[in-house]
Amino acid sequence: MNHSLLQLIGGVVFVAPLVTLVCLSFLGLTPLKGRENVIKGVVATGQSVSLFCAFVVSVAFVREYLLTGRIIPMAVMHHPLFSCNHHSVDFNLQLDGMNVWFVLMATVLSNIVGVFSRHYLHRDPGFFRFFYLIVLFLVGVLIVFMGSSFQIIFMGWEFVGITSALLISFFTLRRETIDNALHAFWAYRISDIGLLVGSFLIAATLPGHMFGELGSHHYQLPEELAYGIPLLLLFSAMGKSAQFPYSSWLPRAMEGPTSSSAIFYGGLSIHAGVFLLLRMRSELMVPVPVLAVMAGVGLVSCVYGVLLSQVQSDVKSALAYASLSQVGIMFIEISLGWHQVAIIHCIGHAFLRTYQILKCSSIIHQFVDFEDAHQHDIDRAKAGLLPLLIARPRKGRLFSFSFDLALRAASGPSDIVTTLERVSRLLQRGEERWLVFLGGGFTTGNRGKGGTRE
Amino acid sequence: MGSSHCVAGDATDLHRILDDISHYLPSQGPIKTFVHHNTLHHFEDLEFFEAVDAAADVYGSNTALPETTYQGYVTQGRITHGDINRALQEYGYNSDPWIYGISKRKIVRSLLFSAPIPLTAETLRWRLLEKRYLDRFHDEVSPQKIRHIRQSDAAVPEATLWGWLSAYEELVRDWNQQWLHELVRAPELAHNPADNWSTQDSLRLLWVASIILARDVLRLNPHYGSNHHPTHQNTQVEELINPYLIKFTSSFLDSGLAHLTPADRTHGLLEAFFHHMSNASLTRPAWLRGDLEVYRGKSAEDVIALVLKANRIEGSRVQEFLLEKALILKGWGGLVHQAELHVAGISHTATLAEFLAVRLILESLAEGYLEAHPYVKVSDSADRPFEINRPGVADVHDGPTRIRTTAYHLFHAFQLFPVAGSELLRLSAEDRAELVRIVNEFDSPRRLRVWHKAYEWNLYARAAIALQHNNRKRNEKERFRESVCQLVCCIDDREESFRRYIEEISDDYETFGTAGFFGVDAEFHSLYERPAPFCPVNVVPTHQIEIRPKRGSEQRLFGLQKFNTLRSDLDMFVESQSRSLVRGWLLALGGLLALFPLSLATLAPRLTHRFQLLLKRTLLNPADESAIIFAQEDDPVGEGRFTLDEMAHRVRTLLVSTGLSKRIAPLVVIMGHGSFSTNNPFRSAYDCGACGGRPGRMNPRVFAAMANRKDVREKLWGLGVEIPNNTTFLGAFHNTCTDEVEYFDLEHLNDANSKIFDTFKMDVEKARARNALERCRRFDDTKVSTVEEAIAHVESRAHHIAQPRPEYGHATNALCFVGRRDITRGIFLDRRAFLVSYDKTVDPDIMMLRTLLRAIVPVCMGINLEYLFSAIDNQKYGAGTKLPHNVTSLLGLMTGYCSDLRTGLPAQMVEIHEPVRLLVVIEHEPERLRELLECEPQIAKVFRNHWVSVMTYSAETNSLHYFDHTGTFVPFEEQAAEVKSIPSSLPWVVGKREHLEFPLIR
Repeated sequence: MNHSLLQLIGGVVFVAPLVTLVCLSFLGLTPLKGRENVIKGVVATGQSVSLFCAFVVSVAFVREYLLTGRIIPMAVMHHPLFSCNHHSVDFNLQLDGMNVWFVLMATVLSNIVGVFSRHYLHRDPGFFRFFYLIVLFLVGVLIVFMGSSFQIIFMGWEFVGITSALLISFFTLRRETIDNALHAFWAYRISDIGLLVGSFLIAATLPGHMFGELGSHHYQLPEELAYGIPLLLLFSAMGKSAQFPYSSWLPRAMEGPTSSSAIFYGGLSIHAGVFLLLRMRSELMVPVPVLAVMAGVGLVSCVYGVLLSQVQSDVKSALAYASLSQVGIMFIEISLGWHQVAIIHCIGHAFLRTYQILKCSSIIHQFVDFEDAHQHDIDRAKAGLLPLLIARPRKGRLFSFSFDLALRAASGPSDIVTTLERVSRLLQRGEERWLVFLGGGFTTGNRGKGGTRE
Repeated sequence: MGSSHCVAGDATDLHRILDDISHYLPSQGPIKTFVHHNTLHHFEDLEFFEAVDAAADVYGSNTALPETTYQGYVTQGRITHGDINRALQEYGYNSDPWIYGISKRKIVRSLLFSAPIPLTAETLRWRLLEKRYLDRFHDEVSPQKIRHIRQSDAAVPEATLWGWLSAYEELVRDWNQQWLHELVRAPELAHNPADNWSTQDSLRLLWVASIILARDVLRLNPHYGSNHHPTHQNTQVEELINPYLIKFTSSFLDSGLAHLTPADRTHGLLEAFFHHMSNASLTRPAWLRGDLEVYRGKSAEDVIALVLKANRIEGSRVQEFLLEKALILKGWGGLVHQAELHVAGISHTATLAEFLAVRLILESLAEGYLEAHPYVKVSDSADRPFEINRPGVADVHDGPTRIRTTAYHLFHAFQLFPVAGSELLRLSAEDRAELVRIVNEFDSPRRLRVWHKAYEWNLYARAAIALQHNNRKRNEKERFRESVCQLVCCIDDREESFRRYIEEISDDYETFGTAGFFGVDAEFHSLYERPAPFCPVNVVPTHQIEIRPKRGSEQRLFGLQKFNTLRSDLDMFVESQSRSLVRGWLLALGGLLALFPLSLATLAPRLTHRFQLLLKRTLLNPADESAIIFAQEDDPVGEGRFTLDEMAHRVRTLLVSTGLSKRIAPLVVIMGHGSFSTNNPFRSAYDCGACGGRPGRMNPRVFAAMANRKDVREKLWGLGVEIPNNTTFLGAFHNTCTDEVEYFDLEHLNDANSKIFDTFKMDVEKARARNALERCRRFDDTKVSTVEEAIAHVESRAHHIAQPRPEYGHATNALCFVGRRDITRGIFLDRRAFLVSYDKTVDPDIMMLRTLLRAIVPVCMGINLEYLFSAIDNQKYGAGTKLPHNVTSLLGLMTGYCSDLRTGLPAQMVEIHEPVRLLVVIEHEPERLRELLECEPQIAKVFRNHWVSVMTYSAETNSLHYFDHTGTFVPFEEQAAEVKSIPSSLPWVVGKREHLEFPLIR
């Protein structure tokens, strides 16, 4: 196929959702906002055009690979954003042998979840808001996957974060929803620092750096940053993928509509961290100790996730923890350099988990069917003659350990939010004292009253 | 709330208190068998409206729809002025002229239409000053009246005027609201010469009068206008302990979701909690590390008594205290109580006392911790950045603000009378006191009652008039032909349309309605399902029926069973093992395969369904569908089997009470119903209530098998019921979600009946397609207009994993007719009526009616009231929106990842529901019904307390009697000249979304 045509098609993968977003923004100002059919039509068109183009590109890439044995990254969009001194930030998007699969996955999942939500959200007062956020999310995720430098990835990263928090707080009638959305939001904000700082450091040390062909070259970072930058990126990836010790926001994120939970925490958002690490590994020379840290984080997270998933007695939390344990395994795979395995694992996991979360309400009837089918040997089945089918319930100490761990992390007032609140109060108090000190008077008697808002 | 006088620690009293408290909690069992019941069952001893108000005090819930909604119904014509007048008459507001020729009824009606909306001081100011509400009269006031008002105001002497105005000035002076002075401009108004008096001046004077009268009302009742029920705000202690209690209870009751469970679940919740706490756990939160020694080893009651003592709570406060604690997580408390009652499906036993004891222990730990660590105190409720206001609740006002809002309300009402400000201010002391009294009495609770009664009466009257007209029309027509096929359905409101279509197709068909378990109260043992009772929940089955393969078809059925087992094993394997480490990894590596079921289920649900059917058919030949036989045929002496007498009795009861036995057609089809939908935790709520929230597949088969037996028929002959030899009974099953109908045991048909059956089957195909089309009109996300599209639509709807409303269930229920089908046949009842066949001519001693009402009144009332309460307060009584629901413990649902258990119905099930109490129309004389009420205290209670509305109907005189608020039967006298008449149902319904009238089908 003509290369420039293919580039154009590659560009449409991203432009289609972007145009949809612009259309929705205008629709939102008109009474058409309340017309479900119009919104449905606009969103479905954008999503399916994007999917179709992603499919065409992936077919072309496969063909290219079969003919030449390699896939050369293809720039699909180039737009200078700003420059300052000698540094410039350009909005560059590309498709290459790795991200094309992620882009395909993102477009397929967003289409399926789009169709699902069309029925699911029918008559909900937030119908428009939901689809607006889902499209915004798709745009963000495509920027993450298609961005050709870490700075561009960061832009998408932010969209993903904000849409995630807004969809958690989709139902504003309950106070807990808002608390939990804030919790996730702060977890994101803190971890985002890593990518923000890291991406600018990379831009400073490797000016004009763009992602190259998979595994073709690894940039050697200057010695003083060789540890710092990968650790910063890892820090960010951990937050987005809810790895230990960030994990507590993930079950809390199950407050939104099931379909957004599925695409975010089963499908795409949770794997953004994995994608970032894959990018990092294929671009930069990562020193072994950092890889060890990565593997360590993965290991702790997957044990943590499995334990907590097994102690959960509600289906959404159980699936959420299970997700993060699998993502932990992906971290280990990446640290070991098994990139292909990680990609297959990541994509397979995204589809499986999305499916599981979407149909999680049917679990009651699934158990009923199971027990009906095994009615004569149900006791044997439960006693462990069919251990492959249903896990034998384990009891006792392990329960107490995991239960307390789960509750400590993910219940009650959010610890992240309260810690932040406490820190800002401390700072406020410090500032007041400082001001008093500057004013030269110790007589106002404000001391000891800290913690209240004066 | 019953008061109690007890000493804390007295075990029997504590038991009694706990028992009483348990009734305030939702009594919903495991969601896999959803049984509708009255949400406010504990309040049934009270009159309906009093009960609703009392419940609102306990739960902080709404008592009816918002007043503005009812006002909107008046503009839509859903409520007429006649309906309102009737409701007002009931409260004694008559139309006799009172002050200035205005009747009391007129006064309260004006109050009704100017119901106060919760206004802040700023909004009020804005409305009066900026929107210039004081510039012109309400649109409804005629120019003549305005002229009259102006004249009478202008005639007031200046001194009197000045007197009133200075009273106003004095009243508002202290409020520090300058705009109130600006509004009236007293000095200018007082000196306004009579010939210069304008409409605006009159309105200003009216405002003055409104303020002064509002003050009088508030003096009489300082709480006037505050329909604010205290809503529970979580304290910091609760924020800490609620998640712990929720998750622990849910882990304890879990029946299979968690792989790690508390160690000891056989000795109750409290024991398990102690056991858990005694495991030294590194990860235990700091606040839980307090000392538990005081409580350890004590029983739940002792723990409660201990805490009560420590907090010095005794006497009547014990109940208050414990109820308050229990209501914090009422859903979970209710489920624990269900476990205490050993409700089927909950495998672990816990008691409410244990639940409360754990809560109290956790509270004491948390309180102790917070006291010791005051700096932990974070985010107090008061410190929270924003408050979430429930819409429709007036905010708490101080005195002056409340006077102003009341004045605003009165100001509107006075314009509607209409009356001049001067006239009001000139009223005599008695009249003024009386006016104030009326205003006060007509506060929000009473207004809501009036609105609700008017709303209901409108519907009742339409139904009653349709019934009378239908009878007139029928008398003109000739008798029905002898029917060749009789169809016995469940009484379910969803079968109304199905029956209507069958009858429309041919006069050869006659339909009957009876409770959908068809009198077969047994536990079923089958190859596919675990043993379960398929009968109403209040019936304890003493019989067992075993369903097993017929000789020769074992192989196929075992094959089918193997296939089912394999499929559910695979499902379970993925579900359960994707959460483990290594197997989860392997599954995820192959996870791309999930794309197929995922896209099939969302993009092609109907195809998936067809494919599954095909797969099943290859294993189970359609001819083999009759392969299942009943155990009693070859082992008649088994334990718990029906004896011949029992079978004959059951068949006879059904045939006689429905009136079917008078003439039995060659083919009698007994049709049960159920509902299949996927990915829907509320599936069971759509199933047959008479089968205990299960699909009624087997009951019609068993009934037909009984009625087909020679020995049963011989026995029946002796009992005076003659079933012709060539008559065949046939079991069938109607899936109300996909509108599919299947038939069982066709080998019983002889040649002649086979022909009838073939025609009948074809007609059922037509009827089900039309029925599907009629149902589709309610789904406003589809625009199907042909029967083919409708069938395709309902099938794919049922199998769509994204569909939160696969069908609307009982959402349109409102009426219940107990009588011969003849009286309702020919009325388009819009799927709104339970139709119970009852023939009074064969029941001289009303014994059958008594049995019938005992069975159906609780069932229909339960369905009706569950929908009603879930609709008027979906957050407090219902389950909220379905979208964030989360299955927990395999027993219930939470909203989000950690919340109270949600009971009741979700918003998606009640969104089109009109919350009206069920109107039961019984075809019998009022005198006989009065007799019946004498000897049926349970029924009498709900009738007299008006949890259902009751009418009697007599076909001979074509007259109805309404059981009114005083408990007497009064003749129904409303008339309508003409009732709409339509040629057939289908053209009438297509393209319409809303609730329809009840026209007659020609």
